[in-house]
Amino acid sequence: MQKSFPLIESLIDDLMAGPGYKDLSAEKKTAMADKLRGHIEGLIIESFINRLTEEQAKELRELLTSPEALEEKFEVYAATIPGLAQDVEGRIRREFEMLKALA
Amino acid sequence: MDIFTEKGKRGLDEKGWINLVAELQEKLNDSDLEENDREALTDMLRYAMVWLKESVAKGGISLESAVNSIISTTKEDAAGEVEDVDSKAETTKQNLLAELEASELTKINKKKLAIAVARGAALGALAGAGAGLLADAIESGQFDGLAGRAGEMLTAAITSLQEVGVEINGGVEASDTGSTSPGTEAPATTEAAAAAVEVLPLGDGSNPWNTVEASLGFNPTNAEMVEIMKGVATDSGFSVDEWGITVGLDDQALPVGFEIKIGPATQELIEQIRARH
Repeated sequence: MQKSFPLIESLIDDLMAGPGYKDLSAEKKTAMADKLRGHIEGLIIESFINRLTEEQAKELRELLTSPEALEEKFEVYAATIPGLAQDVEGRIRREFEMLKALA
Repeated sequence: MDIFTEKGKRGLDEKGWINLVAELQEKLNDSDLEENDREALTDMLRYAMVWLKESVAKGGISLESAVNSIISTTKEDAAGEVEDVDSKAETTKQNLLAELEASELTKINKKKLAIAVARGAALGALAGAGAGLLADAIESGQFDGLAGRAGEMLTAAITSLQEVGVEINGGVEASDTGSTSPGTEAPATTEAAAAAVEVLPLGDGSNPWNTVEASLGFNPTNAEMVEIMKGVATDSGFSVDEWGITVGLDDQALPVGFEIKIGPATQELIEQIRARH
């Protein structure tokens, strides 16, 4: 899987260098990092969708067959949601804190 | 909150504890949560995490298994909420989420969607900072030093966003970003976003209209030029009263060297018009 955002990559690197995780094999680390990337990207999308109005959500559903238009609309709507960047960052950091605490 | 009254949490099996962690985390994501509830949930989460950590340490649960289970449980919960909500809006949103989850085999790339959200959120935060500054200036009637304070605020916002949205975009490979504007690489960072804006310095004896027209490489009609120049005026921050653009410097009084900017949306418009010629 291609690498993700720098913030996520940095948190993954930090996690994998921590107790418990650093002892995993390279293959297991790669597999886990891939899953984490997909998971966090899912969290970002979910955080965004949770803040949409019904009308916006309806409009996005109608664009499911037009990926480029859908991406564009995601960006436009995300720009109109106050505090979304902070919400998303908080959620990502909490997720990694929890994963770090597992080991 | 029913979670406080549930009995027998100590008797939970491995899956039960993992579900509890996911459940607590989901509740903590509620921005409307009251402080007392948040503290109580945080305590419970800490307790559940200690148990999980001990289980991992004792070898009862492998670390990979614990991580994978938490990740998959969160996803299952998100999809499962569809049945629990009766609000029409929530159902629509959950349906959208479920459809995106089910779109693995379609052309929809969730990484690109996540990038789009991050990019939009970062831009929204910057716009919010600017609007706040302007509102303060209007309220106080103090416009002196506004530009300097705007610069300071922008620098602070960018620094902050480099740890949030902008940095999220920062290392995205060009092939990964998708393109929201035909002919224009989607901006991956604030710097890239700025770079995506074409800048034409206003020459001596020139005006924005003829400067932009000369840069196009084709001959648009007057109506098409008006359409383009409305975008350019907004992108550049100059006003043209007859077009209803009243914010910014007077287009008749722009200094030599003024930076005429053509933003991504206007560039896209130009490409659409170019395609008609």
